[in-house]
Amino acid sequence: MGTILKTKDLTKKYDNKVVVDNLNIEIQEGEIFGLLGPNGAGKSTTMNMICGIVRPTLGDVEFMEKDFLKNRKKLIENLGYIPQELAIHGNLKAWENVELFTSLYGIKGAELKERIDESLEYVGLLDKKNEYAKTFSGGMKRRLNIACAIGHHPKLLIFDEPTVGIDPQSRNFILDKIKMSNKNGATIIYTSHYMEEVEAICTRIAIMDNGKVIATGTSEELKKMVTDDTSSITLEEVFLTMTGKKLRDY
Amino acid sequence: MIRYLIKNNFKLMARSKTNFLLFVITPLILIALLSSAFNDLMKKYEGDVSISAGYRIDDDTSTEILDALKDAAEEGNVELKEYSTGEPEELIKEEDLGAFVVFNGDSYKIYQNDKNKEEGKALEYMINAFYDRVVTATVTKKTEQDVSSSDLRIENPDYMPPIESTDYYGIIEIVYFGWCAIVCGAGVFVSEKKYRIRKKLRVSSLSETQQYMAKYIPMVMVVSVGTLLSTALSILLFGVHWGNPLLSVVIVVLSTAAATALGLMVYSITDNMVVTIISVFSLVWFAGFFGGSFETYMFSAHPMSVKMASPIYHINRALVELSCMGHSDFVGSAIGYSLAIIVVCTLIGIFAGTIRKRGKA
Amino acid sequence: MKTLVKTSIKLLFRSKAFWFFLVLMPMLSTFILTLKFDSSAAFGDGNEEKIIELANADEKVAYRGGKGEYLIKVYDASGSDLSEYFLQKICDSGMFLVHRADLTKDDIKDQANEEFITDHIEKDGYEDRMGVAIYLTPDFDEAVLDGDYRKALTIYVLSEDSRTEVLEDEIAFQLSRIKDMGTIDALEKVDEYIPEKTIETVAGGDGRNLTTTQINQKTQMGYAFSFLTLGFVFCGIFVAHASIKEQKNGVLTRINLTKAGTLQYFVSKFITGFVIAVMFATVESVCSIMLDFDDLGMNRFKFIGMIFLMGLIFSSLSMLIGILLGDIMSSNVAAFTIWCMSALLSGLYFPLNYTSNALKVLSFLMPQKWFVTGAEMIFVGDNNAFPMLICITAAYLAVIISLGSLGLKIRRTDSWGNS
Repeated sequence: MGTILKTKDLTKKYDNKVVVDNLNIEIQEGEIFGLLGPNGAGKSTTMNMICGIVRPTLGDVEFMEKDFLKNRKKLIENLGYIPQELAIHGNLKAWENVELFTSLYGIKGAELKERIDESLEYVGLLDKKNEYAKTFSGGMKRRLNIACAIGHHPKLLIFDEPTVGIDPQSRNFILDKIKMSNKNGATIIYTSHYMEEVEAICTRIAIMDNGKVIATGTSEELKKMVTDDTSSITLEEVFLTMTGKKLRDY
Repeated sequence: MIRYLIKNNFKLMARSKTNFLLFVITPLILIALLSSAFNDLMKKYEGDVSISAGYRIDDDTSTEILDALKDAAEEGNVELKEYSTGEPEELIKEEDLGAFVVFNGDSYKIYQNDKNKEEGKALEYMINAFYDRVVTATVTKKTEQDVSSSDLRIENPDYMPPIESTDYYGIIEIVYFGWCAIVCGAGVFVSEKKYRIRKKLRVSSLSETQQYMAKYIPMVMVVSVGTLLSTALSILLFGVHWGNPLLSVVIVVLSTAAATALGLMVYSITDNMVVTIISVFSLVWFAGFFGGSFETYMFSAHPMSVKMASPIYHINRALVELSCMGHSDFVGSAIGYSLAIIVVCTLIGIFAGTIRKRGKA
Repeated sequence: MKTLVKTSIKLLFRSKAFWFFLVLMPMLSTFILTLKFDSSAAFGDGNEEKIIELANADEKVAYRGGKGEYLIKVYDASGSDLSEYFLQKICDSGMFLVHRADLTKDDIKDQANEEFITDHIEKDGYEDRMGVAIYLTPDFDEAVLDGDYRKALTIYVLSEDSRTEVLEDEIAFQLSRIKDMGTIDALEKVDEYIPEKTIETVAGGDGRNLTTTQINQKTQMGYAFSFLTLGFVFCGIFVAHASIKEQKNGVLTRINLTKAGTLQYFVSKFITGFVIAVMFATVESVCSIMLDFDDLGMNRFKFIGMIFLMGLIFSSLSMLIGILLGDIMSSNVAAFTIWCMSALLSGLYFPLNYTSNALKVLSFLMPQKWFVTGAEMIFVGDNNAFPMLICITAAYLAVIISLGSLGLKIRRTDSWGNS
């Protein structure tokens, strides 16, 4: 298992504000990598730079051992991004949404039809395929959001707070599916504010604050950085200890 | 109770750059552009301009007659230059002549430049009149005619004096853009819908009429301020003459109030800002087209009934006549029409909103 | 690309507002255009040196002359050969365009009293445009031959035109002539000695000499271009609206994460716009049954072809504006304003002959200007009209598509829309 994604001194500045500061992370193939941080830590900006939505001020992103920005067109089909915001068409049916985004990776014909059904079944929406997305509940929309990103079988999936504002059943469903995707060979980057989710599914976690990674390791390793008695502390407490309890008004 | 809502909406609308652009800047740009474009079209015929024309003599045209013609031409400010070679059409273009005449014994041919038709016609008249008088004098043996214009019955009734393009377009562009009033509130209403503020208003103790007024009043205020500011700038920058100031202000303000009511009515019915803007813009364009917002209403040959159906026609005419004549018979109809639109559209708008509210409940 | 286009069209078709607009707009535009055509007395239908007969006393003369001509409206209660001769002489002088309303017809001669004339003169003063109006009394012949010119006619001065004095002199001269000669035969005998005059109009820079009928048809085409392209502007706005929604809800960003680039996206929107424009043109061609194509000087196919090509330019332009501005309200206003002003500045409503050079040059940037030129070419039987128009359309569209994809690239935001 090699390194699937590597950032080298990744930096992003907006005017005089440094949002991401010399970020160096390595993500191994097959792992579920969690990225934690308070509001304004730079997580979303980091994800956007990794996907190529935002151009870094400095630094590189290496994806599958190639410079991602220079080889974007060839490498993009190996990436799937599930944004925090719902990026679906309300006036299209579920299958039409999946068809739109999957077909843009060059998949067509019978294979496309197969992938649509597969993706919808994966997120538990196959029986709703002919319904308009705008009629879906919040949880269903989130699941459809995921289905739109996995139809092209990407090697790397980035989940940016995928469980915001949904019920526990839907959340549980999504987390199970993430684990299943990982078992099927996909590498996952997962960002969230919900510590218990991150603890439950991530193999390795990085904590970001003020644009920098302040700690990386497994859940156990992070707890050990704060206290020897790892059973007496939660990941949330570790997080608060490392980042502080002060409100972040960005 | 709605005082704060009005104040809030007013602030939101007044802060919008689009409103400033649409109601203040754009009319001024268009006034500059259009008045310069149509300046010549609307200006008076300049009779004192000298005309440059070419001529050639073929065969046996009498030189005596020609000399007399040249004298007459000089008196009439026409400069006749001889060109013994060259095609008349080419000479007209190359030498920038108003016209060219070729004399050929007992006939003559005038080449008139399509672009300077007035000059060509002036030359044609001059030559025609010359020959007519010479021949008549020869036959009747009279050197002077018995009749002069003072022997004719000439009346000078009232008529609409010519208006400068700056004044005309200076007035109608401001009126026209005032009729796009719905744009003023568009941003605020879309935002209210998007951020579920309407839901909040619905659970408040405000009646439908109060909610409507809370939109209507600030819109009228902002659009009126914008158009009046544009008016003031048009006077300062272009010297547009507006006629009776108080009456003009009243007509302009009522016009914007009518436009606002119309836009709000359409929005209340459709509940879709895109459809509202398209519908209102189309309606206003047609009303403006027939009302003289593009082609001057004085010159247009649209049927009178269609013109009279356009509220913009009444308003344009009232303001333009106030500007060039100091009075207008259309002031009453402009004000009346605007008030009627305000009342009818407001009632329909409130009614539509009430029905929609009941439907949702 | 196929899916992008398919999706865009699906989204549009699922909008009720779109269908309402697609059906209603062409119907409304064509209907109003028929009103315009019916009413348009427009130019005189022949030689400018003939007396133009008006259908009735209410008919306007304002638009029967071009810019700069001196218009005379005559209320002829005489109807005699002598009055006809007199008016023809005024016409022949070259400077004046004479329009006659015959008051000797059975249905009007009893009403044609002083009050009638006064009412009409008042209307002429405020609702028409002319140099003077002249009333020839029923006793015109007698009065002139008796030398009582004040009883023969009345001149109502309705302008400040300095040529009015010239006209008054000419009228005085002709009346004096008539009195001196006494009969038409005598007058015509004298006229034989006046050298024969021929007038030839030399065309301007464009080298096309249009007949008066063709000038009239060109004017009608101008109105048709205005009325029937308004809907296309809003077609483009509908497409832009869908794109703006995609920008705001993050769908565009998601599309950018696929193999489809910005150019492909914009082209897909353009193709959608094209399809909508075809639909719109189809509806308009059905609605064009209401139009009389004699008024337009070309057959239905050529006409709809021109409208479609021009409409395509404007729908693409409004789509470009919408996508670049990223805000549906501003884009509505901007697209509409640009369309409106380009119509004015391209000379659709007024000839641009007398404008400044800068504006004449600016008019060549306006698509309508080229289409009016194309219409002129069709009128004179020039077969290069449509190839030219297709090239012009392609050129505009190439610029629009390039600007659109460039603008979208520049506009790309760093975040997932603005939802």
